[in-house]
Parts: sequence; structure tokens; C-alpha cells
Amino acid sequence: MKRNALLLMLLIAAFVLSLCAGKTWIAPAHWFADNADGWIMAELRAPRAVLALAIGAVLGLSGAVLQGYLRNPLADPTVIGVSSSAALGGVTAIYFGLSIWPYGIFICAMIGAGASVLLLAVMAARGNGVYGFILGGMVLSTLAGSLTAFLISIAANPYAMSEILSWLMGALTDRTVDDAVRAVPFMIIGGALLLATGRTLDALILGEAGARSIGANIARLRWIIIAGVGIGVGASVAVSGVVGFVGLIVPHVMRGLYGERPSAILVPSAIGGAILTLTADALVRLAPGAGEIRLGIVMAVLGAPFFFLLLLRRGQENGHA
Amino acid sequence: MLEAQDIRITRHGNVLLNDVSANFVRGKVNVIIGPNGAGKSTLLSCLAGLIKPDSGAALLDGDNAADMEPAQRSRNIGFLPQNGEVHWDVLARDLVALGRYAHHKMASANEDNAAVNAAMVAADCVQFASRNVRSLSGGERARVMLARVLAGQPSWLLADEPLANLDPRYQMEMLAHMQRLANGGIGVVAVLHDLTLAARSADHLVLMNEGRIFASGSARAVITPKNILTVFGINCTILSDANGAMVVIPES
Repeated sequence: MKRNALLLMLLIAAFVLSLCAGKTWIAPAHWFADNADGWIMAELRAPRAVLALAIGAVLGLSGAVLQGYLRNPLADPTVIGVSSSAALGGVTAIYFGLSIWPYGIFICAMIGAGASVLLLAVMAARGNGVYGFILGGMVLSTLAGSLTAFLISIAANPYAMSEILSWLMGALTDRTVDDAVRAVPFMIIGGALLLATGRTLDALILGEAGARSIGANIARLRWIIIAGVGIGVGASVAVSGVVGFVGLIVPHVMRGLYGERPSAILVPSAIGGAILTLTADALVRLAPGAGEIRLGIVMAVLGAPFFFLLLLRRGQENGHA
Repeated sequence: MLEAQDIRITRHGNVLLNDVSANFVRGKVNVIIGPNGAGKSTLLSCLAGLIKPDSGAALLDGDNAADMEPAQRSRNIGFLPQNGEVHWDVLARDLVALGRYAHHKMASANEDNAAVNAAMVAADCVQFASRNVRSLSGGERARVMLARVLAGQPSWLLADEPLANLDPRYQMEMLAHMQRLANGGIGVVAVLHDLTLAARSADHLVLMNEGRIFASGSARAVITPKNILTVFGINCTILSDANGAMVVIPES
């Protein structure tokens, strides 16, 4: 298939670019050199590229699954407050000192993400409709943001405050091999759970009652999504902070290539998310200047105009239909 | 046989179904009529195993429908919901293929394709196969939704107001489809609102009122001026057309 080959080639190109790019450009010939270049590659670039790939894949996949589940193309872990709830979980872990234990931030971020999906799923089950759901997610996002700010403001000492802030602003800067080893297994588990939802997401095209009438188990789907998004997005936020837009943009693009069926875009959205995140994270490092721009900011700058463009085009298509 | 056995359902203090018992047999068009809020749709959802009654049970050949494994239940009972919602822009053929959901891993891809094709031929919607379902007219979409149910090759077709929002021609087509399916041995249970169409299409008619079955039997026995006055609160005149079929004319 041409489009599969194209996606894989782009993925490989983005991964190679992510390894090469930085304050010093390291060409593939020097990747395994026995000098500073080789050390940078093994200790900094490689874990960072692997993390960018995994985070992008999980976020793209989560967006595709949430959009299918909620039957709403505006759903995305950031938009409906899942990412900020995960961030609140992580900040809570730091505030109460749980971050001393390596998995403390991970567990709390996952609980935060899972709890927010559970809350939104309950709202959806009560039949508050698509707009109720999005509004609920936005309120949740604001609330989680405020509570995060509250925790920062009451932090016991400047050291705790700076620890929280540096984690929140973390992006993918200075991630180590240990970070990758800790985070990637969770993202694989979350991703595997989400990949299993395809058929049931297709059934939801008929609405919840219709899906149940053809034999779909919607209650089980809900728990799989809560666990998958909780574990996957929770782990991604724990290691990189909040990176928005990936789950919103990528599924839209993939629908153009693979059609509208929710199950058809799951794997492509994971690959597309990885491409986008690897590229954006490479651009962050290539940008001139002393410091590094946050990945989340670059993603928003890349993503927002693109998304508006897509919305405009969709509107026009609907107008002509 | 599909059987409602002393079904009682209470929601928010309202009794929706009050010890309802009814039998439906395969190979017949069974029609449920009654005023809004009589419990018709609730009974249909119970029969489809989608709602578990507070007491009593819907039995499919003796097995409790609500306790059956969802895929097994769905292979037996095809359910056509009211207004057939479609929540996503999908091609008609992909939508019809959803009817094979419960056959996953039980049928080969060839069998699935054959069933989808046959269903689209039977429901007369092959020509829409590669069109977006949401761009179809109401009547066209109704045919695609019917094909979706038929693709599952069920023994029962439960349809909630299948004639709603259809123009007269499509209404006649849908009723003809239902009759053909019954002739082929499928049990059809449909909720209808139009009394004349109900009288003409039903082999067996059930009249519901306030969560109970008020009368059941042949159309002539059930649709009488007295029953209609009691249940709907309106007078009506019942005539016969040139072929002897009933015509029910409500009066204000």
C-alpha cells in the first residue's frame, strides 16, 4: 500500500532527523563514535527520540480512540482535560514527596488521567450530549489547572516549587535512558489496550443502543479506554509534561488518507503522532537562540493554524454536499 | 418463539411495563400499536435483550434474552432502532458490514462479504454502496439500515417505528420487505403508529396502553371503535377498501 509505505518512510526520516538534530548536528556516521558525539547520542539523543516517538504515538492514538468513542472530531486528551488532570496528578505526587520513588509521578499522573476519563465517561453515559461533554472537559481542564497552580502556590519551600515548575515545563529536555525505560513500557501497555478498541468503536457509529444491539460490549469498551488513556497519556505527561494538539490534528489528517471508519485510522494515527512529535521536537532543538522552546508551544504554533485550515476545508465540503 | 413473560419495568417511580406477557412466533409479522408512552419501545428493547426487566423475562426459545452472551443474542435478534442514528461519515457498505459484528471470527471474509452483498440486494440499496450514509435521504438511509440488520442473518427482526419519516412509497416498500422476511421464516415484531398500515400489515396485532397489553389478536378483533376510543380517546370509523382491507379513519 502506497500510503502505508509513505507513513513508514516519514517515520524513519523523522526519527533520523530527531537523532541528528541539536546544538551539535550529529550525522549518522558519528552516531557510534567513541567520543562526545557517541556519548550524546547514547545518553541524550536516543532516549529522547524514543520518548518522542512513544509519546507521539500514544497521543495520536488516544485522540483517534477518544474521537471515535465520543463520536466527536474535537475530542483530544488536551481538549477534554485528560492531560491537565494527569499533570495535576504528577504535581500532587511531587507536592507530597512521592516523587522520591521513581514511579511516584507516573502512578499519580495515570490515576489523574484515568479518573478524568472515568468522570467524562459517566457524564457521557448520563446523556449530556456532545457539547455537554466538551464543556465538561473544558471545565475539568480549568479546574485541574487551577488546582495545579494552587499546589504550586502553597509549596512548602522554593525548592519544592522549582521542582514542580521544572517538571511542568519539562518537555523532552534532558530526558535520560532511565526515563525512557520507565515510561515506554507503560505507553506500550496503554497503546496496546487502545489498539484493541477498533471494532467496538466502529459499532458506535450506530450510537450506544445500536452498538449494543449488534452485540458490542460498551461497558467493557469504556473500561478499556479509561485504562488505556489513563496509562498511556498518564505516562506521557509524567515524562514530558502536557503536549497538546497531537491527538487533535493527526486523526483528522489520517481520515483524509484512510477514510472515516474509526478502526481504519488507529494504527495510522499512532504512526502519524510519532512523526509529528519527532519532527516538532527536532525543530525545537534546531531553533536558534540560547535556550530551548517548550515542545508544547511549538506543537501549538504548528498545530493551531493547521487545525483551523482543516476546519475551514471541512466546512466547505459540508457546504457543497 | 419470542416470549414476554410477566415483564415489569419501573424507572424513576413510573411503571413503564406492568406485568406484560405476550408471545410472538416466527414467520409472522407481529405489530405493536398504542399511544405515546404506552411502553411499546420499552417492550421491544426488552424483547431484544437490551433492557433487563426488574422482574419477569424476555425469552428467546426459552433462554433469557437479557442474560445471553451479547454476540449470540445479536446473531439471533436483529434490532432496528427508531430513527436509525448514524454518528459518523461512513460509506453505506461499511455501515451494512457492521451487521456482521456478532459473526466476528465465526464466519470467513467471503461469507461476510456474501452476506453483506445479499442484504444490500434484498433491501434494494446496492446503488448507494459507496455513498456517505449521512448524505442519503431518509428513505434511502432506512433501506441501508434494514440491510445492516439483514446482513447479520437474524431469525428475528425487531423494528421500532420503521415507517417514521418515510414517504408513502418508502412506507409501502418497508412493509413489503417485512412481509417478505416473514414469508421467509423470520419473525418480525414492529412498532407502528399508523392504524391503517398496522391493520393491513399485521398477522398478529398487539394493542398496548399504560404499560399493559390491552388487546391482542387479529387486526379485526383488536382495532375496533370501542378499543380505539378507550385507548387513544378518539372516535374512529372503520371501512373496508375494494380488496376488503381495513381502513381506519380517526375523527376529531
